[in-house]
Amino acid sequence: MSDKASLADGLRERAWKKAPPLAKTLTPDPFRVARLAHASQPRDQPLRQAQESAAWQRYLQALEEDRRLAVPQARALRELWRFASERVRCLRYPAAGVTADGDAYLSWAYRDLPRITLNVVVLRDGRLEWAFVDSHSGVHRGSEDPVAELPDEAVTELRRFARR
Amino acid sequence: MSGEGPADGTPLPADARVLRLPRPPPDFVPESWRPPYQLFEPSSDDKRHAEDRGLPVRVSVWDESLTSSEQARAFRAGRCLVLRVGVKNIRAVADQTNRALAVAYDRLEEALLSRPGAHGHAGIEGLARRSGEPKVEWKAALQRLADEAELIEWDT
Repeated sequence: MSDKASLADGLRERAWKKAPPLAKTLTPDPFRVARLAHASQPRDQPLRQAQESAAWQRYLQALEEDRRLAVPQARALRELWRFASERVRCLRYPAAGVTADGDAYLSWAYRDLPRITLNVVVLRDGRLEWAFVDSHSGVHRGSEDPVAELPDEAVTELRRFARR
Repeated sequence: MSGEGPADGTPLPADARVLRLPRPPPDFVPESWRPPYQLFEPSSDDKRHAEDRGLPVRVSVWDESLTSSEQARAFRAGRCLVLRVGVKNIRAVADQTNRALAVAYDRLEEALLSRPGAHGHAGIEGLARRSGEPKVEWKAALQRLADEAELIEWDT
């Protein structure tokens, strides 16, 4: 993003913040969206990667304190990341969360890889369910029953999500 | 006021767009992420609620023409993530995945109806796993839907 564009964005952002509440109800904050778009500028890449890495470490460190998670589940999440990142060099960070029913998940799904998704659910007892989806070819594979660790088949799919 | 608004179960028009505020939002999202299918997965509460009312399981959304994202956020406590998806996109996913997906207005309880934007509450039907359906197939269908969603707001 150029300095001029940055300044223009700054001015627009300030104007939006001062806008009456009604205007804000009619349009979502465009600057959140703009910031997301700007996040893909190559110039900022090393900084963004460092920030993302730090945020991911904070996520991992907070797992044990997350009261929504059972102890085996938090342990399994950490172990899953260790297992996966050891087997797949430069594995991208997944989206991570906990559902309303208490299942934790890691999801490898990115806009720059629009067709493929790998999703791993970590159940409260620490067992895993995985699913790989290729929405273009219609191929999907995964576990129908929980497994103790990611099988080789899932690790093979995970390799598609290594940083290039 | 509370008597106004579309009747429960009325389908949304094809050109409508709905907002989804998944609860809870993800704890971590990487750059360039796409939403995981879990953000469209019916919860046990959704299923229980449907059973109590004798209605199909609905995943909560808001008709953007009746409820702004700010109004929808007012119904949620804490951090919010707002996704937007077109009804026509949902119908396209229904065709691709051979699922009976529908989007219908879902009337909130009387006490909430006086709140701004309450009449825009709706639900996506057909997202619950069907009896005997392979789990991976069901997840693939939900992921197709999640892939259609556009992120519009995110409290980090």
